[in-house]
Amino acid sequence: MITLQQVSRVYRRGADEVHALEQINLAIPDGTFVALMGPSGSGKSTLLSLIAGLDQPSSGNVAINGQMLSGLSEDQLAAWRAAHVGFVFQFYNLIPVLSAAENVEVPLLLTRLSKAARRQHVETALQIVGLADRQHHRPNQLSGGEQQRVAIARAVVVDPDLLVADEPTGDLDAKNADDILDLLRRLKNEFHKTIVMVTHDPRAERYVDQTFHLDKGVLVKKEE
Amino acid sequence: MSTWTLIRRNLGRNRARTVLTTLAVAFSIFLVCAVITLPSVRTSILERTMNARRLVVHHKFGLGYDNLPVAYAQRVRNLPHVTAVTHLTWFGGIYSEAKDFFPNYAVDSETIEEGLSEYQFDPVVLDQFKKIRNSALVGVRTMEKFGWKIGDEVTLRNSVWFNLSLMFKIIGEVPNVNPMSATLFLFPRQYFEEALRPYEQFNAGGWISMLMVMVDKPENLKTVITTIDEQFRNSSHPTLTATQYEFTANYLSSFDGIIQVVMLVGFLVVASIVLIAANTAAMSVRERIGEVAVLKTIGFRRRTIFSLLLSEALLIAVLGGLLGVIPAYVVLNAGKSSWSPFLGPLTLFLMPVSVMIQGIFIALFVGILAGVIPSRGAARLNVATALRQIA
Repeated sequence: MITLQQVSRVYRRGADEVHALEQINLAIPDGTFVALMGPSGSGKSTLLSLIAGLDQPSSGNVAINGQMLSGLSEDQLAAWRAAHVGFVFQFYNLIPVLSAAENVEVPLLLTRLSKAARRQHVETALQIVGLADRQHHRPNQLSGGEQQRVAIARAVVVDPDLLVADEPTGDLDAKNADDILDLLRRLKNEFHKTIVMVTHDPRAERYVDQTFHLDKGVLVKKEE
Repeated sequence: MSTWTLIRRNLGRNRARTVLTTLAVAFSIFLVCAVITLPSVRTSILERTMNARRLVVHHKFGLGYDNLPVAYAQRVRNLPHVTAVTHLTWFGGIYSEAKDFFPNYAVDSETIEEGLSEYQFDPVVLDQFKKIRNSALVGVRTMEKFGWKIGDEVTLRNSVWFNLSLMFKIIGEVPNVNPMSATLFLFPRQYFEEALRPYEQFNAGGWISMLMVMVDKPENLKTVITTIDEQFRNSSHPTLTATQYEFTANYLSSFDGIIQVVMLVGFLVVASIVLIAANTAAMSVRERIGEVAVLKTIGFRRRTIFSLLLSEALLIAVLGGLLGVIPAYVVLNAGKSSWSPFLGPLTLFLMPVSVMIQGIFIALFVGILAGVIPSRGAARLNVATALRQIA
């Protein structure tokens, strides 16, 4: 369960204060696929960063499956993210000098798994995203949709409880966008992942369980 | 895959840059090894040219100040413990241009064999040297420098001795026994004296630059030094006698300033390589800031990111260091096993293993200096801010 209580995030920009999020209260049950939507600057990405443990709120509490993120040091947050969160980005952010399989293996370098076990995890993750036959290809040898699938395999390879995705379809054509959303939906249904996705893509609403709308840092609407 | 794979692949990302940076470090480390070894050149010259039983006698106020009467040779020869005496007179001849300097001396052909016994002159050549009045023995490097060969006739002009211009016939080579011998040009004193005869009214003849004195045992050197200098102390041409080691060391000390300047330049080169390598490391990190942000997002901790990036800089530095010290060790020890005049000044270097180790440590130091700031900056990167920049 993801729980946010009275969460605010204020940035300082010179002498000014920018209120990115104000008094957010949110509860996302395990195994739910939710979308965060809203205009640019509405605070979607900030909210995603707080849920993913990439940032700390200025006030309020963020708890993921009972783990309070407020007060954790940077290294503690890093260790928590490595074990519990998978990330998917708009521009895939794969490492260009590594093959698909090696990119997927990167998060496993932080674990104590043996080489053979890591290999097994990588193959499984690539099979889930349907790219087992493309594992030796470099990112520049893959299409945008395939790169995003590799990025999703990288996100799930450590079997995290939570997947966060920031505009995962933002750089894809309609067909590939549908495929990616379908894949995320399948991860939620078959593997019971909790998925929080920031998106501008209206078709996402067909795939998610809940949609939260934000505007000027305030949660304005919740759709089931 | 391992973190090593990640480091290796990242270094292969821009191969030209990695290779050029590695070579820059290699060249600078080679240079540093040469610079650190430079003082050993003096030791090398001293060890290779010194005879433990030889004394050098010249004018008390300096070799270039005035000459000594040739009669001193016989007087010294009669002293106790003295086994051989020969003398050399600086001619100062120039073949083509003054900058093409080589040492040329008028020598006593009758005593040169015993006075410079380590040269082991060929008896046949020495016999010719005594018989042919304008003969000359020339070191191989000087022969090579001017394209001379045995049998050639060469003319040396001179501005020290009444602008004499003397023609010599090269009858043989000076044996290659040490770095100095390869450059020598020796000719019989009798020929020189004959050439000076027209200037007798100027008291031109009968002078020598220095005496080379062999003493029976090293423990008698001090006694003979004192005896020689005492004997001529009140004469119009007082002497200064020193062991060959002291004489050469004193002469070489005049190059100390140059050595220090060369060493300073060498270390400045290293400093500039540090700056270049640091700039390269900073560029490499800056280009990958998005990837660093992703690694941090995934859960890589600060110290892991720092270690990964610093390892890249260190790997380049160590590789460059090895590429610098190994050739340096080979090249700067080329003359160690066998003296070859054709290696030029390189043959005078003696690079010990300790300099290799110093070179590797300097390379590591370059890597640390170059890599630590960009690596630290990347490790401290705020993930949320960086992700916003790459989104």
